[in-house]
Amino acid sequence: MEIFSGIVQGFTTSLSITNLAYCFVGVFVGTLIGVLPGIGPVGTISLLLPATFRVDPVSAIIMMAGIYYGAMYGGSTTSILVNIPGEAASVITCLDGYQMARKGRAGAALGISAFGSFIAGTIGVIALMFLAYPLAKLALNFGPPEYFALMCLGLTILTYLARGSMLKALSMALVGLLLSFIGIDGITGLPRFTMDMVHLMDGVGLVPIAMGLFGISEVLLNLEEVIKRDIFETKIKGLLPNREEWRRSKWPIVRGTIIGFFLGILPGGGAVISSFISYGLEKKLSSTPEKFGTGMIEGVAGPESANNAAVAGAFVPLFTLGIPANVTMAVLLGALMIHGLTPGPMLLREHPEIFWGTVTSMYMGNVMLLALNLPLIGLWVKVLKIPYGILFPLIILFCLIGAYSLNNTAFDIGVMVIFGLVGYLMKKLDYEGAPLLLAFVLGPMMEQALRQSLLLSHGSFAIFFTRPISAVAMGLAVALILSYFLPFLRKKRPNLEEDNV
Amino acid sequence: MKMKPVISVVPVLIALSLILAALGWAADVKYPTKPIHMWVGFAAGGSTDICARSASAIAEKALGQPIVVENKPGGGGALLLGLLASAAPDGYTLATTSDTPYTRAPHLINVKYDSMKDFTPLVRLGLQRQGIVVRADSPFKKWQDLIDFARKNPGQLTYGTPGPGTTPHLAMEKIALQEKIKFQHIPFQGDTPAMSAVLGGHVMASATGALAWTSHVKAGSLRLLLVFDPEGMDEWPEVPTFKKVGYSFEAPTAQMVSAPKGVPKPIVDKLITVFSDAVMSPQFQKVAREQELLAAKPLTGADFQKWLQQQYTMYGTFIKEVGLQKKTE
Repeated sequence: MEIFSGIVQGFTTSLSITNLAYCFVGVFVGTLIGVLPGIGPVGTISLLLPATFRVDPVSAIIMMAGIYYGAMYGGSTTSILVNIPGEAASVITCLDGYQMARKGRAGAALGISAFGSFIAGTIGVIALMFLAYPLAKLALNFGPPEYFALMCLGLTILTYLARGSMLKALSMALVGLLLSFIGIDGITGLPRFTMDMVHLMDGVGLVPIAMGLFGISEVLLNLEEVIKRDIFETKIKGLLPNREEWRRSKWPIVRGTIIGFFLGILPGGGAVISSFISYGLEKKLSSTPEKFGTGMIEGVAGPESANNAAVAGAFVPLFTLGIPANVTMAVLLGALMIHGLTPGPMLLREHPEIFWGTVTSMYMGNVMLLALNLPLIGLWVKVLKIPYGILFPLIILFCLIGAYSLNNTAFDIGVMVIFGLVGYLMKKLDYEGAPLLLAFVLGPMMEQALRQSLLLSHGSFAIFFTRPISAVAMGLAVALILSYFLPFLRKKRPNLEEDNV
Repeated sequence: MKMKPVISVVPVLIALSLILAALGWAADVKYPTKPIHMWVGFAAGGSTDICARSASAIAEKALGQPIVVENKPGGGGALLLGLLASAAPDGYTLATTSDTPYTRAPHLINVKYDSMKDFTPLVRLGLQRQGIVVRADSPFKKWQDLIDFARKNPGQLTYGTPGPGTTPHLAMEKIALQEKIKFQHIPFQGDTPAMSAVLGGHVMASATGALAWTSHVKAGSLRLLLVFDPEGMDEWPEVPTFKKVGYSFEAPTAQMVSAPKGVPKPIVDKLITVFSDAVMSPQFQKVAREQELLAAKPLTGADFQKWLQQQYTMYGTFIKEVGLQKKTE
């Protein structure tokens, strides 16, 4: 019953005019930046964060969540119409979505990705409610050893499923870890790598790094590229997929939702990986896998559902344990803390309105997005025609203001600019920013949990294997690593790169 | 007859110069004539920030000029004091911080200021209430039970704190020294995680700010064993203070307003009056209660300076005894 009173409380919060307005602004901005290549939800949320300082925390979180899932809707539009993914999670949608558009089925592709997103988003939110709430009740049982074991498991699964160069991803994660060492050590209170600079006492800021890596660097990169924008000028007709297309999309949407939600929960998982895995799975299950890449609706419906469900999944560990599952969640975690809220087991008890308000706002947000995306496709296509000469200076300007207003110090601007340049070089050399940022956030959490556990156990590593929750998580992680190294099992590892690209 | 006008000019000139002097003096106390900046050493939304904003909102009405609150967090307030030390002493730049960067940071880390010389402490807004809690089903019914357990099992009593070098950590280690026992310290990142750990049974006790535990003590899921308030807490009069269990020291954390060194006396006086009045106002008292800030009577001026000096010396000794002092190379 508690869950129902929670839902009622949530709707009371999220249905207020103010919060509906914030939700609308969030999903609108989300769709917008989803459509625009160059800036994604991490950069945008970082950028808008200082603007929410004076806002009620619930409204701020509702808006920032809206940006995140809104971007998932918007990202597919450009993938389908222009073959440019507006968002990393929509990269895979280009393969079949663009081909569908070339075959005159742009409307159906856009329609199915919007409906798939809507269905997955809604189911995801329901699952989030029914999973996060009981989990939050159990969350107090998660002490330092459980946190450590859980993060080990998450990162192992992530490595197991990773695509692209493992070496490059790991090296970026190491850079992130090294950066996270800067500041006062949370166990001994001694400064590490601060070079006696007071600005470094609390470490390098997450948000300026995120703005640099995901905002400034994208702008720099886009400056030198002439992006071909062959937008289909032909009228997009028939946004509703036909009966046959629905029949083919039904199961991919269901499977995509399940994959997306559960991968979204894992640290390091999230929208991008789940969209790739969904595509791989649909291809494998298809009776005509060779036709993938030529405009198969399954290849649009599955990944587009997966990336939306992943967003809901990612809120589970954030709201219950205070662990960010991905980079966007890490920025949201920072946002909660700036508003004086500590994400973790106590959040749901002490501030139920934050959890329920945000979750119920996602229902509204998904409805708004369906309305925004289907009839307004024409508007979003026009947005794509904004000259970059206007767009990019604006993004840079907002980044500069945003970075300064975080702590009212120019130091953060410097950090952002440096990471903008670093991020530019990284992209040129094909290194991803996400492992760096995720390691930067999860690293200190893992370190703290490990050292707290060892303090509790007086130095014995047995503590990770004698407590049931951490023993199970550790056991699974070890089993996964073994299966990777055992040659006869290795064949079974889904080779995503070959399957997908 | 010709001289007469000249003679009559003299008193007029004297009168005029007197008036001008009076005006000049008046110009000195004609403060403030432009918005005042209130820097806050901690992030928006925290206890210090909430107190600073509340006090500023009340004070700006009395001053007739807006007070612009700007958060400049970093190094537990040390970053802010570094900036304040070189700010203009004209009364238009003030700071709200806890006393931590004044009394403890200089002993723990290398700071860019001399906390006892570079500033003008104005008003102590209040003392942050803190205490030591255990879970309701803990075998420790009273403070002595916890001490007895720790004495019988050296190093086995685990306790959580909001972090290394925080007041609760220093206090617990000082207690261990006086009792000649050994606790196992488990630092967390802030009050709430430290309190969740005691609720989840991962540590046996936690020493944190009252804001984190009052609702749980009221709900009966946590038990309060010892409070830091010298006078005890009204809600739980039976819970002992440090003095009652035989500790001769206190471990307070204050919220305070200060300015750079060298602010003219009339301005200092005006600010002290205005901020003391703000503390005593019903609006601020309400905020203080919500933030678990003990704000009975504000300490000001020379008395406050003396109190700060005492805390500085005391925490210096604490930190050395506990073995946390910074390395001097």
